[in-house]
Amino acid sequence: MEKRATFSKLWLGMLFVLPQMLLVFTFFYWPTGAALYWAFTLERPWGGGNEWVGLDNFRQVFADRAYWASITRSLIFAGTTTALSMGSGLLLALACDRGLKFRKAFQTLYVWPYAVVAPAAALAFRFIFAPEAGLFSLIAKSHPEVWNPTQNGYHAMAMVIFCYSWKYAGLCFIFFLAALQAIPRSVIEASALDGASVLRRARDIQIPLITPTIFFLIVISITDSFQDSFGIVDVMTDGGPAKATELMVYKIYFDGFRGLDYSGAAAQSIVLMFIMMALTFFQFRFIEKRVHYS
Amino acid sequence: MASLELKKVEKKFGQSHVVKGVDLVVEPGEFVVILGPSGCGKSTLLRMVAGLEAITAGSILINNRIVNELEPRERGCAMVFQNYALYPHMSVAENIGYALKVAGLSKADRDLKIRKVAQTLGLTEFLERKPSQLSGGQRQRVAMGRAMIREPAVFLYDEPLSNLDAKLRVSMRGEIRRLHQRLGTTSLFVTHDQIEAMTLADRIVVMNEGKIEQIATPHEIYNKPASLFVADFVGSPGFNLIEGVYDSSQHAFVGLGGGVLSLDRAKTPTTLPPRLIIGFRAECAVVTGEGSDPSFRVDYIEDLGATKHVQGFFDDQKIIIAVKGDEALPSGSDFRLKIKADDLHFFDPMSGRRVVQ
Ligand SMILES: Nc1ncnc2c1ncn2[C@@H]1O[C@H](COP(=O)(O)OP(=O)(O)OP(=O)(O)O)[C@@H](O)[C@H]1O
Ligand SMILES: [Mg+2]
Repeated sequence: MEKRATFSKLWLGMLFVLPQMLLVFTFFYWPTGAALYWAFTLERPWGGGNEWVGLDNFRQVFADRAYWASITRSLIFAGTTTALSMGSGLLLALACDRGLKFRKAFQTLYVWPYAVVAPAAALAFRFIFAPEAGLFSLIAKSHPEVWNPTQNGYHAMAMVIFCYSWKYAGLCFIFFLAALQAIPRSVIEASALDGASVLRRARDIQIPLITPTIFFLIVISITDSFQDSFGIVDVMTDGGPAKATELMVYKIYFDGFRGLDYSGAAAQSIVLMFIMMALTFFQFRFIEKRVHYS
Repeated sequence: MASLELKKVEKKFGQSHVVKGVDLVVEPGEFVVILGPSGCGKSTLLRMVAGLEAITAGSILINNRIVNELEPRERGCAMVFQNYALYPHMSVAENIGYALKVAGLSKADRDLKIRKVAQTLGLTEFLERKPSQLSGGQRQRVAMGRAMIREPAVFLYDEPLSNLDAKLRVSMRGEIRRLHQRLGTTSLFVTHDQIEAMTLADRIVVMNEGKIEQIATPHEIYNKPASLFVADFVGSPGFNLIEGVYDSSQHAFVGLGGGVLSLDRAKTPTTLPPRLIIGFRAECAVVTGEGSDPSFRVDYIEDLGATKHVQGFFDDQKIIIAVKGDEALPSGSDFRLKIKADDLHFFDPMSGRRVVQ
């Protein structure tokens, strides 16, 4: 039997729900509603409110090759950052789980990056990567063909990907470590007696047993990479050079607030919202199902 | 068949001294049971043999080779864990065959061996199932299969039966015994259940607080306990221990309550310490009719059908006597106890050890 606390008075219950509802309404439904409104209308050139234009804004967005380029870029960004951050997070977690020395200290250190907000992380990385004064600027000066993110789009993209992955590795690490520690010690010991080396054990026992966590992190990581990347791009590259790091979310901001094309930006954000909803739905519907044992 | 030898093995976890110098030689093919109360360091000892726990001091030899520094997989031990520790994502067949897979055997060779082991353990029809789809007893069998298939030098069991219900425990016990008779693998079996120890062991090691109290056959453990601890720990319903002094002039035992028990000169140790504890098993005392010193006063009787446990006082000290179920004993009355000289045990209260001839 499930036991529930119930409120005898309806208004009291409502009162408790109200603050959360206000937050959800102000920061989700209202902006979403506004975006929908803008996406299907166009501001009249000489003022006088908005005019209903149906799907025109969307047609225009999809006809724009720069938009398709930003989608491609965002997908590459999502794939590489997810792989990088999860890969390094998993490696660190496996190492920590083995009970190496100073484990507790490392554990704390690895989590910190996630606690740092994206723009702050990006600022910190600018000190390292900035072409004029950063630690890497020496390379940029002597060998611009090796490292020159202000001129070379690939270098800039790599820089953004690296910074973002660094930040997310901390989150992955924490989840992976928790999952690894939930595996009964005796199962690991049994595999050691069965002759499995450390690597073999990770491959055959530990990683299969943490697949629910792996898929959870894939979902979180991919969806987050579509939105949380904004701060890093904004601070590090401004989407440049030559739009080489213009991800979907940055393009929305740029077109909307720099280009003042509210309707186009709104249409783009509706598209982004649908992509994320679809991804989440797909992942929970089809992948989650396959990763439970009991 | 491999021999196993422990020499002055010690284990400390930080400040706590868990295993305090254990010496033990297990002959090839022997089945040795480590018996002791919870927390006495049995599992720790076993895990040190397996290589899952580092040794603080001393050495462990398998087949006369020191294995202190070897990884678990290099020692040739297989272990059956209390909670089975099966791989939850693998089928029964994969669980059993994992060691062979790691060793690099071909799939065909593996399948052949898995089938053979499964047949021995009656697991053939479950090979495709996941551990979560098995009962406790079946999981236990899979864990044994996983250990067997490697044909290990030494078999280690850490309370493998304690999660099973009473009936299954008895039948699994029989199975383990049969298996050992067939395979003859040197085995070390940890338990806190004395019945398990008595029925399975060639020899029993009784442990207490990290030290070995006695190493002997079940028969000897039962009939010649080497210390007060062993006497008290092994056997049911209980071992009666009575404190007193030895009166050498009369060659008699005088209880703290003043009761005198004259001793048979021929069958008692020649030198007894002045302070003495005598002991006898509950079922070794015969109750006779007439009352004379030291008398046995009945407190209450527990009737278990086949036997009756009579709780009472002997020389003012609480004891328990087991008598046949059909013997009538009114409560509250006094009796005389007759204990055969062979059934009397003498202990030194200072050392807690048995006084030997
Ligand atoms: N990793 C550890 N760190 C610190 N102390 C430990 C550790 N493992 C065991 N101990 C301690 O060592 C003592 C012996 O533990 P052990 O598990 O060997 O007991 P046991 O005889 O197997 O008991 P049980 O019958 O309950 O399984 C216990 O007091 C326990 O608290
Ligand atoms: Mg134990």
